[in-house]
Amino acid sequence: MEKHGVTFRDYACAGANLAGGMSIEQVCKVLGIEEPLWAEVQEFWNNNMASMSMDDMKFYGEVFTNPKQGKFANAEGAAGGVEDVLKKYPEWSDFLKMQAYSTEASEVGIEIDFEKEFGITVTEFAQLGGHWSAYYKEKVMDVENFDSYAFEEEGGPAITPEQEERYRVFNLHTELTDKWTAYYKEKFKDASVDLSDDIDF
Amino acid sequence: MGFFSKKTTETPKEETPEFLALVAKWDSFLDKIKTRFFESLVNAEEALIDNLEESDYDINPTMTAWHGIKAQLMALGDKVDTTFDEKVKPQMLQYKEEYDILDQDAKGTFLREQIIYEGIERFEIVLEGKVSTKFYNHAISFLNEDFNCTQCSAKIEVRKDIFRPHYVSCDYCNTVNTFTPNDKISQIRWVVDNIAKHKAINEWDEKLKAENERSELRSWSENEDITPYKIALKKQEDASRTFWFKYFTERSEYLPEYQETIEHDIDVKMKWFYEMRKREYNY
Repeated sequence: MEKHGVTFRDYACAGANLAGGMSIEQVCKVLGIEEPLWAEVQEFWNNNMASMSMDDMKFYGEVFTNPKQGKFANAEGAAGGVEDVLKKYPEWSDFLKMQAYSTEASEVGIEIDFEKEFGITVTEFAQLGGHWSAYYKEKVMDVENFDSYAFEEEGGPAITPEQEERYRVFNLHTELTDKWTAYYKEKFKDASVDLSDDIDF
Repeated sequence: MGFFSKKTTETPKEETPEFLALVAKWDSFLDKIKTRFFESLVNAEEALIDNLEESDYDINPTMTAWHGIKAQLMALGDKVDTTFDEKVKPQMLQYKEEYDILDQDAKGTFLREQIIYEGIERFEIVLEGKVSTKFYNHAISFLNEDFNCTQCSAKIEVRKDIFRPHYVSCDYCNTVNTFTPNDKISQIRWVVDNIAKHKAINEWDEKLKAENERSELRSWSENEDITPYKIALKKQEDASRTFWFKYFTERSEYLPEYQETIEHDIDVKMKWFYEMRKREYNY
């Protein structure tokens, strides 16, 4: 299935590059169509998103981490991949800090300017999010949890190195998230409004 | 009249005065939270409409402000929860066993889940609908501005129902021009969805009611008579289809190019329902 010669994966790559700062003119040049046709392509694929296969949707979810793919692999002005932003912010704590900042700011109705605060675009922030989500999935979600009861009470299998690593990564995630959430809750405490501060039991 | 006055009057006569005083105090607390919730919704709507006008119809800061207000409204529900756990329950346990105060806990759960959380969900549809309608009425006026042929400068009529870049032929010299709308016009495409959903709010209410009725039935097991479940599922299916029909029909009033795809769009939206029915009820 395609629209004006643009497949779903072309469309996904185009969207990722647009979000990464590539101009519409450049995107249209890479796809070999004019802007009115690109507008129809967008409309078409937006409306057919729910019909796409799991593989296509997986690709759509991951392409924003690496927009230099397909027709955009060698395109001039294509958006950088996650490696570029990881050079700037290599630590998991960096990303969790930004995430907590964004969440807590949103809770008090403030939209943060990533470029001003951290020198990266919203898309680069999303790329970091994709990178660390994949890390968490690999280290925690895809590893069977250690069953301490089975081990201690029923002579079950001993903890494996992967499970030890799972335990460490899980705790690190909790510790860093709690740390940055507490930090930004404190920062925004005066901006927060309690609608019921005069109502008590 | 108290928030749960009916239940309060049903309390058995042998209750101690101290316990009855706590129940009355708890009812009064829930009443005040409920009143504050509805007052806050009115204030929120006024503030957000003002915000849209003051920002020269930039819809993003208005939606960011809404996220902040939404968090404050949600916090009212959280307060009900923590107040019961930290203050009400320990005091009531001085007079009653835990299972005897489950109905008191249920009052808080009802306010939190059915009144506050579901109320916020519904309010969001109404609010986004009103903000979007106001934005639409402002942005649509830009389509009345003059657009001239690049070749012969003749005035070209631009369609009022396409909000993206598109080709327009000049009636005078037949040159094909590209009309590129400004940002406000481009955004109309996205606010139309909110307007359509708001216009289908009654059908949304019926859909939610049918969903709740079905989910209130306990889980079906293979040996059980499936008839009541089939009745509830049929009601949910019909209510969902009615909602999506109304929504897509309203949307096509603004975007006529979608008139032909209404049936297809409904089928796409209903896909999850049939998957759920197969998974949970095996038919």
